[in-house]
Amino acid sequence: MCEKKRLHPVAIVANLLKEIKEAIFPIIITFIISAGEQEGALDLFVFFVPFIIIAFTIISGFVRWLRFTYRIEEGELRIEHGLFVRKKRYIPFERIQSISTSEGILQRLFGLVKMTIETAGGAGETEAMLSAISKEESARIQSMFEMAKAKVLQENSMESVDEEQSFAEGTRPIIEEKKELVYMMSFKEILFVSLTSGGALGIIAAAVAFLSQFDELIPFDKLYSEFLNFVAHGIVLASIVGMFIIFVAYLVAIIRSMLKYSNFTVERTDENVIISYGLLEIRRTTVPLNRVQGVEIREHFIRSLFGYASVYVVNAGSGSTEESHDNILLFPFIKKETIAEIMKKILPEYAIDVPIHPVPERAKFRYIVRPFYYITIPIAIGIYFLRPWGWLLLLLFPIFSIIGYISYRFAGWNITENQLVLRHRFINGKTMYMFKNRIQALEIQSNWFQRRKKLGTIQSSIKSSIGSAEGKTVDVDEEVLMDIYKWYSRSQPNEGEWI
Amino acid sequence: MLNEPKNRISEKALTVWKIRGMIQTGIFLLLSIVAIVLIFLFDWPKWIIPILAILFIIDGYYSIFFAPKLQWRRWRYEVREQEIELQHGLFVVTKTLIPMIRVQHVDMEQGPILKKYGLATISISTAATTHAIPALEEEEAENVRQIISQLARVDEEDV
Repeated sequence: MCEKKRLHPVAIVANLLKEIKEAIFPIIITFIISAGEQEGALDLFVFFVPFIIIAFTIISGFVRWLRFTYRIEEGELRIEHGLFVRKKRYIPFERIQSISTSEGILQRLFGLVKMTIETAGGAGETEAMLSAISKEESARIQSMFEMAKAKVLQENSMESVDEEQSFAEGTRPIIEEKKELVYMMSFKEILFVSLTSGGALGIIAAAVAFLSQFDELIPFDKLYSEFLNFVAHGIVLASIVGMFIIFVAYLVAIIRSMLKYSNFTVERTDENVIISYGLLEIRRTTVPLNRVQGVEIREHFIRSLFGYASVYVVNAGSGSTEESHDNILLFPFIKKETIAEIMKKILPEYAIDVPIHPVPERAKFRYIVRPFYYITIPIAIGIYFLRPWGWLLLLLFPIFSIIGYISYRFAGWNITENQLVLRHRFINGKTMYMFKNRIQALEIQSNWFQRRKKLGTIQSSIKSSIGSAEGKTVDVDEEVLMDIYKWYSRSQPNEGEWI
Repeated sequence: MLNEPKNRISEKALTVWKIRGMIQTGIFLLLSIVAIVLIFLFDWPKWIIPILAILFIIDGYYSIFFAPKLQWRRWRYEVREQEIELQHGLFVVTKTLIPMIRVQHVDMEQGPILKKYGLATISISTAATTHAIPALEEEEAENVRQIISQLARVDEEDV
């Protein structure tokens, strides 16, 4: 498949729409400015600027499309593009971190997909995006990628294989990979994840802030007793309208998130995990399993009350594509007890069901008191400015103590031969599973108070799409710290005093 | 229990940090003067002035005399064949272990003050993190940089 290929012409329209979306404000502003005065050639010129811009965008979009070619050659995806400066980008398959496809409304109309290919390149660098290709084409690239990768593996294992023959495919029938459905989100789960999603909670928080604004207004009443009735009515009315707006916004957030997560399925092939979801816009992400850097289980405060957690795959992508700023979401909402079992089907190397060793009893007090470091000053300021109601802020102390205690119960660690598990919680819990050969650096810390109690904090970093992801446990027994440190060290540090 | 890493950073770091502390204290002093002028101009509460003075003395003592000494005493590093070990910290003591095969690149940097004293900072980057050794003699820094970049190239595991 050496011939150069172009994108589907719909790509022109897709890019045009994108550019118009970006240019719409400057265009409107030019119109407003030019509408003011109506004399002279200059104004005429200003009036035509938007048209010139649009015409230029259309032409440049077309030329760009004409210039953009891609092909698969010698185990590389080769893209050539550029309007004035011709650019070539060659991406070797073994460097690909993930392939994802999505279908926007425009793409769906024509049965096309948008394909994004991510490499481990520096953050922010766009690697490759094929904005409109047919579904067959996308499937073909995927399977070419599979085969090329398999070939690379093969070469690595038994070096001198007749090179031409094994790659003289193209005509070879595409091997349909055996897919196994591992996980599917039920409607109930989708509904619940939407109800508790950040967006919806953000709206509730906004609602609380919004309503508290009205409380602030109440002292006004004293000034105009005549006005009292009217203002009171105004407040009631505004509150009702406000509540209604919030309710609608919340509903919209829920529906959006439901559309996004519907049909959430996780499939596994021999070498990849394929995650697909979405109703209006279908997204599909392919994660090569050998690129996985670690597994992260997040326990969102509210969701964890119901025994649910989210599982992420830490992947070393460059994180430049939207949606992948974070690690790759494997299970948005899954019963904690079932994680280990399902993960065995996807990433059997990771031992999820290992026991988590707790932090020592003597750390309990530190955990309960620690939140006070952060909240005491804000609370003091709050009390000073919000008297008399500010005194209620004192209630935050016991609340945060309880959160601290929960964190203490949650914290823990585990090491096996080559896996390290670190667990940490402040409000949301995070458990990180990492392999020794994926950990980039290990750090142990202790402050004076910790040293007095023979405790310390351990943190280990792995590569992720945003640069680094950390696993952390606070107040681990000093001896355990040493054990983990030695476990990670490659030159067995000598026994001796530690500080 | 573990041994401390062998090597110390240059003793001149102490001087450099003291200068830095002085600059910082100087900036604090300037801001305080501005604040005092404003207090008199706008008739703000006067009790801010003694607080500023106390803060100035504490900050000066801490960043010129106290911190540099302790920092320097704590700072240790060791470059071994297979890993780099760092230890530093004033109140929070941090020990870091970076395997050689994880090192992506090593940078050497020199600010104007460091340059005047013939010192350089080495920063070691992995795919996920960056770690710095703040003040080494130029020669030593160059040496460390070369050793690390040689050792880091030796064998490769997958990312």
